[in-house]
Amino acid sequence: MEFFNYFSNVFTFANILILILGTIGGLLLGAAPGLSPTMAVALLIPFTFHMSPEQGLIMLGAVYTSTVAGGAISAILLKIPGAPANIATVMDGYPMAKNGKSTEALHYCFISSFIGGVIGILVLIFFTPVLADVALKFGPSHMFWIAIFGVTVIASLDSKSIIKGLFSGAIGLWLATIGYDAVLGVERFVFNPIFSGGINIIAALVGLFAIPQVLSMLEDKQSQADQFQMEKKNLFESFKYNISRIKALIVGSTTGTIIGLIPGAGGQIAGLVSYAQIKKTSSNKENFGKGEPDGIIAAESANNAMVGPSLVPLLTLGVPGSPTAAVLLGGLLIHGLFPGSNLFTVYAETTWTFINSLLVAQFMMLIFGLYISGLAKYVMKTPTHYMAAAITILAIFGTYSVQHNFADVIVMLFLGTTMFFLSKFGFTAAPIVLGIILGPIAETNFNQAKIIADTQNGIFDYLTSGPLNLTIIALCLISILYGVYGDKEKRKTR
Amino acid sequence: MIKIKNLAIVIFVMILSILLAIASFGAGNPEAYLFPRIITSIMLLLSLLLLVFHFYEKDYQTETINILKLSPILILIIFFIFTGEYLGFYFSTSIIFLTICYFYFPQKKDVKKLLFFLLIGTCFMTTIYFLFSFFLKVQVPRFFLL
Repeated sequence: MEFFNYFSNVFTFANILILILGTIGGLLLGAAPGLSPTMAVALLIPFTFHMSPEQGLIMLGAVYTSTVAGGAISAILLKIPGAPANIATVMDGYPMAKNGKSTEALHYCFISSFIGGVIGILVLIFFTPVLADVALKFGPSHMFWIAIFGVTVIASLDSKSIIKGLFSGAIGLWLATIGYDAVLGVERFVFNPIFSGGINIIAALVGLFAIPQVLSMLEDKQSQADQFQMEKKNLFESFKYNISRIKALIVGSTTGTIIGLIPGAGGQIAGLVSYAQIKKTSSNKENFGKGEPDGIIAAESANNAMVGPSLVPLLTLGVPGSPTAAVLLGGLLIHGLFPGSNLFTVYAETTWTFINSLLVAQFMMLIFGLYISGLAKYVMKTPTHYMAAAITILAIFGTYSVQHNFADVIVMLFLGTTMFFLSKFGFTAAPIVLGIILGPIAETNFNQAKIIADTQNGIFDYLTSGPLNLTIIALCLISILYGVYGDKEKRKTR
Repeated sequence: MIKIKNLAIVIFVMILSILLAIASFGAGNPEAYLFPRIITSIMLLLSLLLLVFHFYEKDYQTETINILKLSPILILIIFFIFTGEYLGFYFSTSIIFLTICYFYFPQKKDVKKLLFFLLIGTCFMTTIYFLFSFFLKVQVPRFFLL
């Protein structure tokens, strides 16, 4: 029960203020169509660089939690999911709004997000230290394979094609080798002096997630759907009804928790799987798609239940459970915090304060979500050209502010523009980002493994012997085979 | 509008892999380049697989990119890369803000609208100035007073 020892740390004036600002900002950003939680967290990371590690992580955690829930506002009122995690919410949320029950739908959304979210954070609190202890037994070969597993799993789950996903991951791993080799001190691939410091993680994160979004915003003609008026609805009644839908809550929270624990899966899969499950097991299947509250409750409890567990593999092994968690890993690294057991020993205070703040953020999300969701309509109405201009300028200033280096801004703009063109053909940003983040971990452990292996039977034997190595290799292969299977299924449906 | 075929992207990926492999294998110090060599070998293999699957699956997907619509922002990005440091961040990003707002405003544009964007841009850039220069204490490249 170590987390209790640091619970009071959350309740300082500065931390509460950051939580409130993060939650309100996250809800409004989440409600803006086109602003995904991943992009919101990526844009915010440079700002947290100037805060203490605790405060920075609290801000990022609050934004992560609330953008996922906030995305449901535009899903319900505009039929445009604010984030991929809210795709399933559209199916019954929008019909409910169309039937004059938009406030009721928003109530269910935030209440079930809260319940799912709290369950997810409890899983994070109780599972993480156990897994962190297991991670202590990992040697260089295991850590090397874990880093590779992180790339393969996100390549297979977050890409339209497994080959393109793996290629993106490989690009990320290669980009991470630019600059000085940490072990031998040799300068590698510095074709231009601006690359001598290597690729800055923040520049890559902001560029790969924000710039393609800006370009596609400006390229598309976005037609604004009709927005529904909010009716008056008693909050207590909504609570009572929501709690009575225990089956939908259990299905959503359980599915979200399990999917969150699977590295790379993310909220979109959690929402869609739980929606399919509740629809399959419901006695009134015919109401789904026409405004069935169970559809919203299951989808929203699932995508928020995913948030906590997605951080379990991240904090213990450095393998993120979702694309947003991958960006959050960048946030940890810029504060000098490396995933693993050290987080729960050397940096226990920072880590537990962050985890506890996620629990408090769920309450904030519920309170502010219920009361300010009406305000989000103004954000949703923000014209695309203002949004694109603001994101571009924030991306430029944010990237520059980390190292005061103009080269980072050039790298950010170059990577982002290239990513926009590549994304048209099924290449995705998440595997590249994870490759850049996990690249140094993979290479350092590979080099250490090589030094050890040189005194034994060689590197191949060292990397492929032992049950733990074989298990992680098997997981890598399973994730690739899953991607191959997914591609085959997609071809069948084409 | 420009149309880009999937084959063009596959060829681009292949050329990129070959270039990176040449850079990795052609460099001295095999110790330092061992890991990049493994990665570029995997990239070569994957790009070959992409080419094989392109013909095997007859994936003749063509994507259209509205380059005409994107040209103002792409020109702005290039303009910023070359001049941002000399013209100063506040000055050059103000130009970016104004240009994006003006060119991508979907309705009819006139001088009144331009003045309105200028007002919004000034408010936004003032917020950015206070946020970065006062709150975060970030000294960005400047041009005259901006």
